[in-house]
Amino acid sequence: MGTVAAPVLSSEPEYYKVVAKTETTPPPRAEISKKYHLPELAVQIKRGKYTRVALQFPDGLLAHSTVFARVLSEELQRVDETEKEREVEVYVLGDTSYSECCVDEIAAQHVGADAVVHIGTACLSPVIATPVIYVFGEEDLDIDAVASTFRSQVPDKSAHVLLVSETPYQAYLGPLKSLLCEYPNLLTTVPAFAASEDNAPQELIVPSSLASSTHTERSEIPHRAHPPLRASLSDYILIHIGTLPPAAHLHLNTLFPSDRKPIIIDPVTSAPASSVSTPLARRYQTMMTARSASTIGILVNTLSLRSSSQLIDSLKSAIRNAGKKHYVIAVGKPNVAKLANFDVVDVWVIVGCARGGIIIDRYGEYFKPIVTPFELKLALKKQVEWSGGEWMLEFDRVLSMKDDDDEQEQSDQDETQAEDEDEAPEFDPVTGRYVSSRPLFQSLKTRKQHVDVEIEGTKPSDSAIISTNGNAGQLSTRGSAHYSTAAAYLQTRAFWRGLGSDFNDETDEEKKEEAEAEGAKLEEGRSGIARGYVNPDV
Amino acid sequence: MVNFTVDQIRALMDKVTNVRNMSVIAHVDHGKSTLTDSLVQRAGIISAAKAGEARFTDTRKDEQDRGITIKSTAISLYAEMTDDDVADIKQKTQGNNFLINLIDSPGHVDFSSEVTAALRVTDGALVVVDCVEGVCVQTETVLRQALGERIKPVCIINKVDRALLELQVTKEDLYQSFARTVESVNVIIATYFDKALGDNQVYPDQGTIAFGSGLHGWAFTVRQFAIRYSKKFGVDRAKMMERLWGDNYFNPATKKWTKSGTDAKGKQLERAFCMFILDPIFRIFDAIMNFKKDQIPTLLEKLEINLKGDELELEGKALLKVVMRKFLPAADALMEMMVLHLPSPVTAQAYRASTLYEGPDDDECAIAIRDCDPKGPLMLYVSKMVPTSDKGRFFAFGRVFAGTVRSGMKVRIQGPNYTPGKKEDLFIKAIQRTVLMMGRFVEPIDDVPAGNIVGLVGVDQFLLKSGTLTTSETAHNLKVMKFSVSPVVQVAVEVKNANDLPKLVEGLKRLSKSDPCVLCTINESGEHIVAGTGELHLEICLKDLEEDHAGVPLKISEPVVSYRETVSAESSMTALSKSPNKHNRIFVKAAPLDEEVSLAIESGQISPRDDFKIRARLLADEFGWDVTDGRKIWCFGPDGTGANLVVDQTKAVQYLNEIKDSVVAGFQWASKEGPVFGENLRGVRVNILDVVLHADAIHRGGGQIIPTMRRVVYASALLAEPRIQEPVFLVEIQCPENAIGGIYSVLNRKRGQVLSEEQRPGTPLFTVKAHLPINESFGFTTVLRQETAGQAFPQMVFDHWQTMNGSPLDPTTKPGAIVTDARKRHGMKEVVPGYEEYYDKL
Repeated sequence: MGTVAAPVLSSEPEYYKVVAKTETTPPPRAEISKKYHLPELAVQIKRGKYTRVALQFPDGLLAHSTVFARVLSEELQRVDETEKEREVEVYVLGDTSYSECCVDEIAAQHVGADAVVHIGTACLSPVIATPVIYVFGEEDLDIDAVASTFRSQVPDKSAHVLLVSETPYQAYLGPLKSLLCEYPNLLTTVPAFAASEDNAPQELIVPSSLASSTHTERSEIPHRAHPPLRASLSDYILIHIGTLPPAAHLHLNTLFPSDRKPIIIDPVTSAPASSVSTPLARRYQTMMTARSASTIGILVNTLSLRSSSQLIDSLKSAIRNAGKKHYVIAVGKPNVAKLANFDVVDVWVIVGCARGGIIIDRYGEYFKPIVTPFELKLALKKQVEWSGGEWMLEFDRVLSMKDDDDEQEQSDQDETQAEDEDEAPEFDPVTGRYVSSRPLFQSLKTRKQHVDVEIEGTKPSDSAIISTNGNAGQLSTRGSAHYSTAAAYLQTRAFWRGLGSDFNDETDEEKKEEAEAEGAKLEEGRSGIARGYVNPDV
Repeated sequence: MVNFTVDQIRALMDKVTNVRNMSVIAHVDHGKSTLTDSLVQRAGIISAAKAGEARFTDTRKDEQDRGITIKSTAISLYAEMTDDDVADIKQKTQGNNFLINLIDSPGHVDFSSEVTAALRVTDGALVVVDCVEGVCVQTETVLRQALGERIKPVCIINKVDRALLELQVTKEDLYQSFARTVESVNVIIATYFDKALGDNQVYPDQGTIAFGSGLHGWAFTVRQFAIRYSKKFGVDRAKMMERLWGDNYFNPATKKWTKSGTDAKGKQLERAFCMFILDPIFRIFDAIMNFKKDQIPTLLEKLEINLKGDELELEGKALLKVVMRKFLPAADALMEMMVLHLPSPVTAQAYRASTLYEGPDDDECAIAIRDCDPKGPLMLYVSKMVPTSDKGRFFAFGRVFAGTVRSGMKVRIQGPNYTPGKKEDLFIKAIQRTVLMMGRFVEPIDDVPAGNIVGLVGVDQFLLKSGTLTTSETAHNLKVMKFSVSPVVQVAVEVKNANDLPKLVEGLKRLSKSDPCVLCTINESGEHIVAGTGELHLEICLKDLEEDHAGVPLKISEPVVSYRETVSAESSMTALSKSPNKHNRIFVKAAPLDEEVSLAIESGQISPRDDFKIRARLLADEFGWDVTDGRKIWCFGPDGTGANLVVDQTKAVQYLNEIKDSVVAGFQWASKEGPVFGENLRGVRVNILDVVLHADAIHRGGGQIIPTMRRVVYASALLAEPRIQEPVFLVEIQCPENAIGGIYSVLNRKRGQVLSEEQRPGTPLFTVKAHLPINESFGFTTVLRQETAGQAFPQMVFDHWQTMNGSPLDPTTKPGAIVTDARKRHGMKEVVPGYEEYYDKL
């Protein structure tokens, strides 16, 4: 304990444990070039007339980055031979701030890149402004083994089957389909982007052969398209190649009836993956917990996803209308320790990428529960609502959810409540107790009344920020228009009340004696920057 | 029945020395409700407006169907005593009129939480004991509860008619039987002796025990007979009372009282009790039941009983009832006992104040409670919620301990988690209306002074089950009630139709309010759980939920029990966990807590709200703790109140106080969801041996400490031979001898352990007591009836948590199987993680 090392400030996000593969030595140049289709990528970059390109690698593939960048620069120069007017600068983004399946626009903006090349597994969620070129890179897959697993999982040859894969295995779907020609009703999917808006940036996939033109119908499965279905989606058996993070897995499950859960094939073992998805019922409990939370932390786990700021605004106003308090906190790669620092927060709502940016706390590791925006919207409704199978992650769909008509709700309350009386607590079905979860309701109402009062021309009622009552001079926040949940929380802190409280500890007689001798005197320390310190000894 | 206006009742309330608040408690089927009925018929108060339509005993339909009481009901009685009687009252009184507020409580063990709620608002208890069955398991439970609340008991030995008619005992046998019952009641009372309350044992010769028959409507105390005979013999009444019980004999030949059972010639003398009290009763029984018609008129004349009109035509049992009722009306005996021997609120609150109030015993509230001062600050305890005819709304039922409660008065409503000076669980609200609750009837009343029982309208949304109402800003809470039973049997409920979900949630809220003990939660797997004290309790709760509170069809799972996790040894090595940034280390060891300490915490004898010095003293004196350890208890858990402790044993650790909050938070979390299968911990003491902290405050924040504390508690518990505990019932079965074989075979199959088997003297009945794991108790009653041809009826009451043999970490043992099964059900990894998962190497 003698040496004090610098504290580890950036710790790994714990929900990434699924991604385990990390290569240390880069493969040869030719392999890299082939694996990532670098010639075609160079052509696309040139075609887009980009001058500064950021390469975003997932942590597991960062070892490839140097070779990748060098080969890409050469390829770009080779293309350049025809038109020589511009040189393309290539940057490698070192560390993704948020989930690595998403495009890190912020990091790209730091280098002023006008396009991002996203390498590896991608969630294909829409970005805000920067054009993106996706290079999935082909991971190894034993397609014969996968085909035999497929046959054993789907004995009925006439079954409707939908074949989906993680993006790095997309290239194998074509060959796999021809291998499984005995299944006439087998369909494959291709990656697809969200319906394009007017000002949406360009999004491309390299190689372009992966985006097939025959797959026209947008799927219920996020960011995938497939040929027109011959039955309703819920009648299909879904085979997914590649393991999924818990949130995406659960979402996929909710699209299908419970007796026909999607079959996940592990690409490494080619066997059906053993991981079980979180039951949706568990999410019900989490949602119910959120109903009785009074302070909600909006945990921003993305900055570059399209409509994330609209979603945050919508959540904020929904929370405020429900009379609850919120904090917005942006945390890159959140983990148990990071979130436990904010112990004022009763429940977190995580705004992040549907694939890798949502934390599903499967084993109760987090100090406070974490809900999705969809669940929070349900939780803020006045009446308990839980639609059996539906569970959504997409921002746009969450945004289009209807909120309660809060005007109505408030006028109901006003009828029975006198001004200085308290709001009734609510029953929390999770713990079976009464809780007051709307700390700001009072101030919402007072604010409203103030307006009324002014119109009538009478004096506004007492709105002192802090008043002391006879109760041993304790600060009270009661009855004021500026109710602070933080102050109320600090008031409940049982033990430590700030500096100096240590040595007035009555609970400890020994210490009390020590305290008699008083603490050290305060001395003025050094100020300014280190260069300017004056050392009297020298 | 007495017809009163509300004003007249209100006037009686003001004379608080003449008020008696009491509950009727007993084992199931010992005849509480029947006795209460006879009182109501005679002295029940109904307001003049409602006269004629009153039916006090009208209660729930299922209560009538099952023949048991489920909810407690309050009624008011009016008594006018003679000057003679009033002179015998040993406490302050005022005039001859008395108001008695009586609460009839359920006897079935599953509903004993109702009894607890009733006891809180009363000062005295009428303990009813069946003369044939004697003191049973529930008699003891309720008596213990009553004494814990400092409730003074008086006793009635009921169903004496059964002894006379069915068992045909002799006078001396009957006396012996009475004496034994009195003795066993007194043994219990003596066990829970409380200095403040003084001697509470009941003595027939002091008039604190009555004998009678609720069914026939007659009862007597020794005092009543003493009055009769003192006139006749011209002896002092007090002396006469002493002589009429115990080893006192009257020699008719010498006309002398003696203490020995034989006269000078060695001839057996008849005991005074038999001679003067039982003899007339036996003669009446004999004459009427054996149709000795010629003797009846002389007997009646001698006893000054006048029969009227068609009563003369009666014979047999019907005649017996009428005669006995005229001879020894039950109401007279009971009223006399209550008024003379039970304390008035003024008397009772003087010694109850310290057990009622959480705050210091010298603040204005404590003093007002002690003095039962109607002009002091309001102190009102709401002990239960009573449903109104308006669905979803409740009357708050409680007792005014100090001050006067008025309609429209603005009060502070303090829930069970309120601590003075803080905002949590505190609401300010005006009471809409105060009402008098008389049976099913409710009468508005303007105000109610200290010492009386009241119903309140308009505060029900602020209190779930119970709480304190006050007008003083500095008031602490009135002590939260501790129940002798705990909700350990649970079922999962689910709506059949998904759209009914909001109704289910609302229904669960109403159910939680309407029953003092039921617990409604949602578990980890998202199921709505309803937990009750036993099968019958759950059955009634679920029926209410489905038919009344929620009103929607439900799917109900099979009942399961909840378990607890504990440790059986000290951690085999010091557990260490490092914070996520590796700069903070917590070193702890877990050790089992003595079962006595766990029980003391659960019963509230040791509580987190006590002064730490007093608590340390108690732990040191009674439980052999080190005083320093006792003073350094950081917290209880889970929920800040459970039977697990964190003890600070560190020496001179800098910044230690700063992390106390985080350590407490981490411990609450860990003790709520234990390492083995996410059940509550119980009986675990975690000693913090050392803590290493980073010098910068920012690096030892909650985020670093909370998860670390949880990990280290898990590691230390897993290192300390973890065990699981299952809840165990105490079963009491009364049956004839030939059914005993059947009982044993059923108990054996169900992992039951027989504690004792006794024959009840003077009867052919045997009492078998056994411990039975609650997990095995589902359907026990049915199986038992089958095996014993319906002769055995069990009474089951939660007794204790039993540590199960075998390691829960080994899936081949029974606890291991339970753990694996539960982990699978809750979607956890099937194998319990080893301590290495939570343990960090130095």
